[in-house]
Amino acid sequence: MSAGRDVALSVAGAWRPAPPPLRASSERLADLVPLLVRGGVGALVWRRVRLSELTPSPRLRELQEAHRLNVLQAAVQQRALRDAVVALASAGIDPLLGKGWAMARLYPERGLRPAGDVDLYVRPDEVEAARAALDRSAVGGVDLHSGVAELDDRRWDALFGRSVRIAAGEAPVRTFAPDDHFRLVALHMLRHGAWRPLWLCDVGAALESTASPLDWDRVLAGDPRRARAVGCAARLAQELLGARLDGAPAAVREARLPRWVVSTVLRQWGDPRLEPQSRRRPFSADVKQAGAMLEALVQRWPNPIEATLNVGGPFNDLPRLPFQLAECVRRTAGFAGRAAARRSDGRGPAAA
Amino acid sequence: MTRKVTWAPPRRARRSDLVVEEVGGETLVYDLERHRAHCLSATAAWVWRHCDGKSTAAELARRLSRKTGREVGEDVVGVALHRLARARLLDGAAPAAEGRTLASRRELLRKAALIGGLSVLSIAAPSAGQAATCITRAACEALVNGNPTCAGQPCCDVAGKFCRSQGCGQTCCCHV
Repeated sequence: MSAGRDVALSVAGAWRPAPPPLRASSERLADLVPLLVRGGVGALVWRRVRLSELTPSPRLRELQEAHRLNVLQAAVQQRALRDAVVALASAGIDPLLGKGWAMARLYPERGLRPAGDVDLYVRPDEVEAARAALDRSAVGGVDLHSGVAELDDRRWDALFGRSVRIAAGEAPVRTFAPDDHFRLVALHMLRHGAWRPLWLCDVGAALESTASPLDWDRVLAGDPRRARAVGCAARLAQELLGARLDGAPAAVREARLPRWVVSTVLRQWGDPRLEPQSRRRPFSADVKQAGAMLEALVQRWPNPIEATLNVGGPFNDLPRLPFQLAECVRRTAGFAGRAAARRSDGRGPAAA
Repeated sequence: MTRKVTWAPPRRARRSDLVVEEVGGETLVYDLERHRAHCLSATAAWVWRHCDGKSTAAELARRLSRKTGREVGEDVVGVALHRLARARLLDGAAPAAEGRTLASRRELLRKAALIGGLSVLSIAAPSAGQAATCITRAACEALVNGNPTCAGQPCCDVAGKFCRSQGCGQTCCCHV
């Protein structure tokens, strides 16, 4: 069985209060540790190990380490969130909390879900004031978003109107309504090619949440191509992680999941050399050396999932090459535009 | 193997710039100043909580003996204090060794294990590498100041720093 498939089996249903028994051997799991930790699911698998009869080897203890770090990271970020909310409130800005921090609430224990930063969304016309307020208060660890790129087919006022207030430690903060948030995390996952198993666990946890049930009419409202992509994310969680689609409409439950989606995801989950886009060297650093440039181009060849989403293509069984080429053109145009803007300003090279 | 040790004057547990969390019988401590994480065993955590700047190792050992119902030697508490100081979890410097004879290390750790172990385990600081959306320093520094992505993304290769525009000149930089 492929490493990607083994990763999927190790996290299947791991978000549930009583996850299914772990069937992998200690040795096989130990081999997967780097992939699990990189994929953000180290703590989730550690919990399954704890609940199983496996004797944790030193290698498996690295998963426990991931859990400890998640707990501490969440505590540190809780301060950042509190400070950020206070700083933004002083500027009259009420942000919406999204992704990692808000998703962590759907997991049954603390520290199961890592969150790299605190994602706060503000109205596009308030982003400069928000950034200034955060800078004045020297609040770090906040990823400030101008509007919600994944939900730009919905009005900010509508998103804000439906938002709910939650307690994040000492700081009450608003977060997206469950259906808006589900659409956001599903599209965010696809936009990044679904390379992290954690993101699909988020989708599974949101699908099965009884505390925050989904209003599917609202999940699927808006741009129909994106709605189909969201349905595809739900089916992917069902197919790979055994997520339950009980409340989903037939259009989602019975939707055909293109084979290339599953194979792309499993290939990434099992590839120890995978380097996500955000951790690559900027393209401008490689552009002057032919060898490095070729390697950089190969590394940047868009995966079919992100290419399809980014160019607004359909998730069907047709070949992906046209969408990947279109995505290359889109990125190259963006890179060239930034480079030209920098040259005209007399600054250095652009990042890609 | 034996060696001579004497425990330094009582120290107070450090409280500032620390984030403390209890989970599964362990005490996890994050040092906001040094960006280091520590995991204290039950005994080490008890000793740490009772470092009031007045109680000596011998007094702490007596109180710990009463609490656990097992005899806890001053040497056991002394080692815990030493480890806590080395992890910079006590105010002031690490306790110096002098005078007293210490039982073999194995024997001491065996005794400590009976009361929950002495470990003050340093764990890798929450690395931005765990973040899904971190950015390399090179990538951060290639961004024009004012770029929307230059607004606090964690820097993958510089723990505890974030890609910022503030105080970085024309381009963004990894900054605390």
